Amino acid sequence: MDNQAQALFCWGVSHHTAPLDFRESIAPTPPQLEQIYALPHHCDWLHELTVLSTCNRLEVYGTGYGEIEKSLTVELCKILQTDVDPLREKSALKFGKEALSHLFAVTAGLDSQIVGEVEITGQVKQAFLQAGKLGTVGRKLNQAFQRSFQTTIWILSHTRIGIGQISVATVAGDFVRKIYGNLGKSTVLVIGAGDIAEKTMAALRSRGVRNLILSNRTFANARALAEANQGIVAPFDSLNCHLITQVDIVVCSTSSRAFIFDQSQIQQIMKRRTIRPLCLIDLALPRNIDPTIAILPNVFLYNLDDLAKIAQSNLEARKSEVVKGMDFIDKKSLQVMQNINRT
Amino acid sequence: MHLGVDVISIGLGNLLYCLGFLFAIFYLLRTRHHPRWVLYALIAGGYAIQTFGMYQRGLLVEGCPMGNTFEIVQFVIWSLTFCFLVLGPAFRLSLFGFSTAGLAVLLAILSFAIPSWDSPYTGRPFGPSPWIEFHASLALFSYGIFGLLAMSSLLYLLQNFSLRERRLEGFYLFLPSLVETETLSVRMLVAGCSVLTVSLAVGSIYWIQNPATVDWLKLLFTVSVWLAYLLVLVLRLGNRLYSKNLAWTCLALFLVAVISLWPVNQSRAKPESALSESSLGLPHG
Repeated sequence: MDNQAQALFCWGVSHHTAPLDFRESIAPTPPQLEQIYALPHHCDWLHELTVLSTCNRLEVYGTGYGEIEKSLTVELCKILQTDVDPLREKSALKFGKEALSHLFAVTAGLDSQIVGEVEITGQVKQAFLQAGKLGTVGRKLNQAFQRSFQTTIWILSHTRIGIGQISVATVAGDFVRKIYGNLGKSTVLVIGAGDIAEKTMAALRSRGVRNLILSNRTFANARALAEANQGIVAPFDSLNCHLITQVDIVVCSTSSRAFIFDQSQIQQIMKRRTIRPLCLIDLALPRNIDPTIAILPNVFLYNLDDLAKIAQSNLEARKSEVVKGMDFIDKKSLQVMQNINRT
Repeated sequence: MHLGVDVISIGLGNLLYCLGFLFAIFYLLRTRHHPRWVLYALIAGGYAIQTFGMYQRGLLVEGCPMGNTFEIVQFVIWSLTFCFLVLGPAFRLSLFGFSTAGLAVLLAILSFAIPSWDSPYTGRPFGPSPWIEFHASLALFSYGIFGLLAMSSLLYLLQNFSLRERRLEGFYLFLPSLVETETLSVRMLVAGCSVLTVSLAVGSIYWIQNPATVDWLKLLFTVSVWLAYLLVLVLRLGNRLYSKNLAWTCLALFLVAVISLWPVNQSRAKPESALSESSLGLPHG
């Protein structure tokens, strides 16, 4: 039983095994998390422990012996104040190589709801650091987590798992960067203050945009959004040729039933802009920008359909890369598991 | 083609450009990115070996090695590689090194595939005057710059196509941005025109002193190419020619300029146009 005594395990509830409301009900508060981390100090059967708690999963990685599933579920139920049966029903327990493969897949974003998102890698690192500070990481967990970070680097650099944006806002950001390159000097005009406009603005800001102008029929909404994004507000009735001549990127997402910009207006604007290209992103339904504008030289127009198609095809491409990543994980976890068993 | 130290070194240099190009293709296909410094190191290594080969050839012909088509093409490769090594790290344009290596490989294959291009000649390619040698080398150097300008124009057109057709996948993913590519193109246009202007100014001094030695066909082609690029530059600076039209013009002009090498070189090959006659015009092949 000595080998089993040191068994590496992974217990978890994730978006694969439980719906959102259940995951919400068991999401640990900071004091509850502290209690979970205290378990190795008073449970003989538990040696090492790291807790990964995100919006999509609550997972406990550790080493221990005996009836881990039963013992751990009971302890977690006490801490999380939930019933044993639903937690047991909606959780999964993996041991040894299977647990290690799972950790590698989670860290690399292969197990994420949005395949290939790398935010999870940072969350795993954070969890590992926290466990290290609390003294619940031993040699086995340390080796497992260090190897999971190395495996992630290999997967991200040798597969296309992280290539291509998978949201409308970030695809728009990619198009804009393909036109202007460094966006530090570009000025963006956002017309409309809806959710999608906000997300696109965030995507553009994360790509280096500093100059933001916001405009909306309801001035207060534009002002609130401008304050949150360090932009300036332009009154909706001031949206004239002169203003558009000054900007590089226009994002439209208003509920207007008629076009805000038609071909003749943009033609006039382009005469004044001389050589700078103009990028128009129409995120509204019905559309805010006359689609015939796309034929004008030096004007690039993208609508919701264009961006959504690319996002969808990127997502499909990412999914097809999962197999390649999992093949590597399978080989790597076997090798790492042998090393861990030797320690 | 005699396989001396010069040809072997030039060939080895070209081989490194080829390796750089293949390395970049392999990594782009396999991992969708390539380590730029490896490509840069391969091109820089190739450049050093090619420079040595050109130097050896220069010692053999007792002058700047631009006496036949092989030498002219190698000098153009050498010039465009030099420009890349200087401009590459400053601009860090995606695929710029890759496309430079591609153009160098294409020209290198051509120069080695046609052995008659390296036909032997006697005497110094440009006679006794060092000024004519200087003029010709500057003129060919400007061709190297215009070659790079054509490559950046091609990248611009591909990016423009990808943005119009909404293609963000595969090869298109790695293309540099439109604005950055055009900025680089304008700078190369200025640099190319400046170098060619200086070259013609140097040549014209000799021409005024020795009008009988001028090959009028060469002069006509050279001045036409110079005027055409100058016109493009003036139109661009006046915001009359830009974006896609500028890229197409630069690409077409370079093709015309390269094609014009053929009749220019043929005129030089005529027995009556002795070495001393290769006094003016581009290129003095």
